[in-house]
Amino acid sequence: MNESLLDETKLQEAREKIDALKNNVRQVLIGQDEVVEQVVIAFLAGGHVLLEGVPGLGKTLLIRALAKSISLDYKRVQFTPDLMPADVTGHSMLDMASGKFSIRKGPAFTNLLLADEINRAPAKTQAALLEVMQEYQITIDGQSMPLESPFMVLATQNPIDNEGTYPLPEAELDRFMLKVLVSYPSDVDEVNLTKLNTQNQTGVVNSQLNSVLSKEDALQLRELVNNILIDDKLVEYAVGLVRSTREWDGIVHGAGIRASIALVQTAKVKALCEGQGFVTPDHIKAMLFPVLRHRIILSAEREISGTSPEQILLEISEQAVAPRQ
Amino acid sequence: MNLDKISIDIRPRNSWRAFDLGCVMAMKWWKPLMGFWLIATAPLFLLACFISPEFGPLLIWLCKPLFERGLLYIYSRRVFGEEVSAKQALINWPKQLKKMWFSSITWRRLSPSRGFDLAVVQLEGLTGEARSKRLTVLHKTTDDNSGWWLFICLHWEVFFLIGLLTTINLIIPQGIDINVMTVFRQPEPWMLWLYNACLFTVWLIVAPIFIGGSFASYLNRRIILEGWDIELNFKKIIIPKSGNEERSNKASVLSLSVIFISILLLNAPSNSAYANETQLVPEVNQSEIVADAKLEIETESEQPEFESKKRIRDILDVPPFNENQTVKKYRWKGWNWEAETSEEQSTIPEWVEVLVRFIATFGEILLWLVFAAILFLLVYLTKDHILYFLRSASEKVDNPTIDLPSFSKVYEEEGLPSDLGAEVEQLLASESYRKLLSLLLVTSLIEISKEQRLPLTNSMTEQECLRVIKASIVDHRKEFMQTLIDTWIKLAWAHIWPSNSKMKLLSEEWKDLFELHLSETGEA
Repeated sequence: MNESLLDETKLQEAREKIDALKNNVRQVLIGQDEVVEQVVIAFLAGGHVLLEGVPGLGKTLLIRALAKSISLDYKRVQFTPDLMPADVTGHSMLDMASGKFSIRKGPAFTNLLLADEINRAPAKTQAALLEVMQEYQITIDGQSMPLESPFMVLATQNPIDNEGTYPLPEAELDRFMLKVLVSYPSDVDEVNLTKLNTQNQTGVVNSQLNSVLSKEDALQLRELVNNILIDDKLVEYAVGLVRSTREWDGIVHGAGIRASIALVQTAKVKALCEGQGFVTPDHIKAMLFPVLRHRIILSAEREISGTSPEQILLEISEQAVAPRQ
Repeated sequence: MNLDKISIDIRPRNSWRAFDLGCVMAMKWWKPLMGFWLIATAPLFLLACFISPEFGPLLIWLCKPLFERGLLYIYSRRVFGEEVSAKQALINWPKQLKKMWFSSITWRRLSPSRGFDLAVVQLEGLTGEARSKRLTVLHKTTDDNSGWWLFICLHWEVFFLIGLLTTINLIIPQGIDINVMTVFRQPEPWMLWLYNACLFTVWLIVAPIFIGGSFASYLNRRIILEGWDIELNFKKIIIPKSGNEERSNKASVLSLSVIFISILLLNAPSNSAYANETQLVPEVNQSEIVADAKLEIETESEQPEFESKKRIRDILDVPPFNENQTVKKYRWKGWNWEAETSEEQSTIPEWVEVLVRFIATFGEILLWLVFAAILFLLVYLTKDHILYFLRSASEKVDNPTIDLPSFSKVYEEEGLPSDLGAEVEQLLASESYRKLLSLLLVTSLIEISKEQRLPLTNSMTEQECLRVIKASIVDHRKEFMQTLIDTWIKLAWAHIWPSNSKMKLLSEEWKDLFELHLSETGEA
């Protein structure tokens, strides 16, 4: 019988750090607790996030707040139809003085990369992110350069106004660990947000944020995740849920192996966020929607009948027998 | 049937004017019509609504053609001058239902021309093939709008219904948060009753109009086919005459009219158009007709009407009116072209006819095969959609409820022991904490589920189950279950072994809270 490799003190410290990070971001991103939590989970799990929401919900603000809270470098790229791959990754340029080619690094050489409105760029530019997201390296003129750790891509897309957009290919969608839906804050939160932004000038709020976590702390937390205990039955349960999507009536294309890995990994981080050294079935269930919602393609009949991916995933989780000891 | 007593203006109309006539008839005789409808349908409607406010009206709607027969009975009598009250109609109504009552509320219920066709069944008493032939003749016109009449009445029903509901909605005082129009989305019982009342009112208004229009259209068709107006005009001509002359002229004009009608009948496309003639044409001896006709021909030249006809004929016989011109055009001659053409002398060689017939038959079979293939292909291509909609209609997502002993795998196979108290003691002594916790958990859940319904399912995790359990129990049991499940989760998923003292405490609490009940009920 394996036991958790983490003692209570370490778990408590980790929880406090994560809570401090979340609370710091929540200072400016009011009413989006779930979004903040899921982005932090993806960051600690070493994955990338696709944020979907209408404009003006603070997606860019979230990235800036996260970067400031962890003392990390961040870059923002506005994806447009004329954006070229080299505009993201970088390119080599002839130095007239020395007569040699020198590499000019693109905005992808950072810790947190915000790919704003990613679906506005053509497939070629979107594909430039594939290597970055999967291999954590960039190749320019045959020279591969590893990215500094931690590295995370946070891409946004707008669910409305789809005129002239390029839907993300399945291969790229699969590389996003989580798809987080950013919705409007509650009534009370919106009032607070309005007050906050009218009492202080926009931007001032953001600049007041202090760093609560060092880069080393962030990397340590990531390492702690590896020591979170997960029972084999829970791994089987997570894999079973993912496999169900491949055979489920109403799903044309189910989730792949990356989904199983992401589900287990994020469940571990979720446990760590709660100060637990072990994963329970609840942690897996909690991460089911953000991990799988962008990895399944519904059949035409279900789409026509207005079924959402979340409804299908709910059906799957309600039909799956929970693991028992 | 006596045309002399007919109470409407007999003349050929187009079908829309016939429907207008039907509306006028409905307005004129509204008392017996609505009276009959109220007496016949209201009790059954109320009964059906009491049984099921949602589906009761549907049943009455299905049976509407039966009630409409009573309305047609009133119309058919009133048109020919017979005063029929609602009461009399109600007494005679069951007799009207004898023929084709079942088909009229099942496979013929949705026929668009059912109002028009009803007269053929009910008044002419035709069924089977005779009915089909008769309807073929009656519908064989470009002016057959009986189906449209049904759709118009259907629209009236919808407009009246929405109008009534809107009116009620408008007169609800401000401040009362009721929207009657939500009856279509989230109907409350009283709203359903209100809706049903409106529906009944709408039927009460529209049903007599629908049957009136349909019957007027049917009468109009027969007037055109059988020349009732001509017959009636002949009758009117002889009315002013008196004495012997009157009698002889009456006989001669009547005879002539019969001959005229007979000629019309002979030239008509099918004999079936004159089904039930005994009801329509006054019974006259055939020999009398011939004798009267001879007499009429002899006296023809003496009558001014025939003189004018002769003068007209003379004018038409001289140019430019006598220029006959033959124009050849292709035109549709109806389905019975074979019968008609067979009488004509054919100049086409027989083998050509055989060949044409063969090609036609072959083409017909080919067309049917193509039609069947397209139909099959359509069904095949849409099989997934059809299956999906059939499945979604019939199936509901089934969440199997949990079998409580299977909450823990430990006791799932071997079953619970007979003496629970002794088993707990024994497990505690041997430090078999996993088994002990399983036993405590399963027995506690069984005991709670006897007192409170626990909607637990197999897909629920321990924490989800705990949330449901905590909502069902109070006080000490709630605290005990919280501790028990927390300990179980730590053992199951964190592999953290509970301390001896904790297990002792849990066992003691379990005994206090559950063991007594279990032994009392003999469940253990």
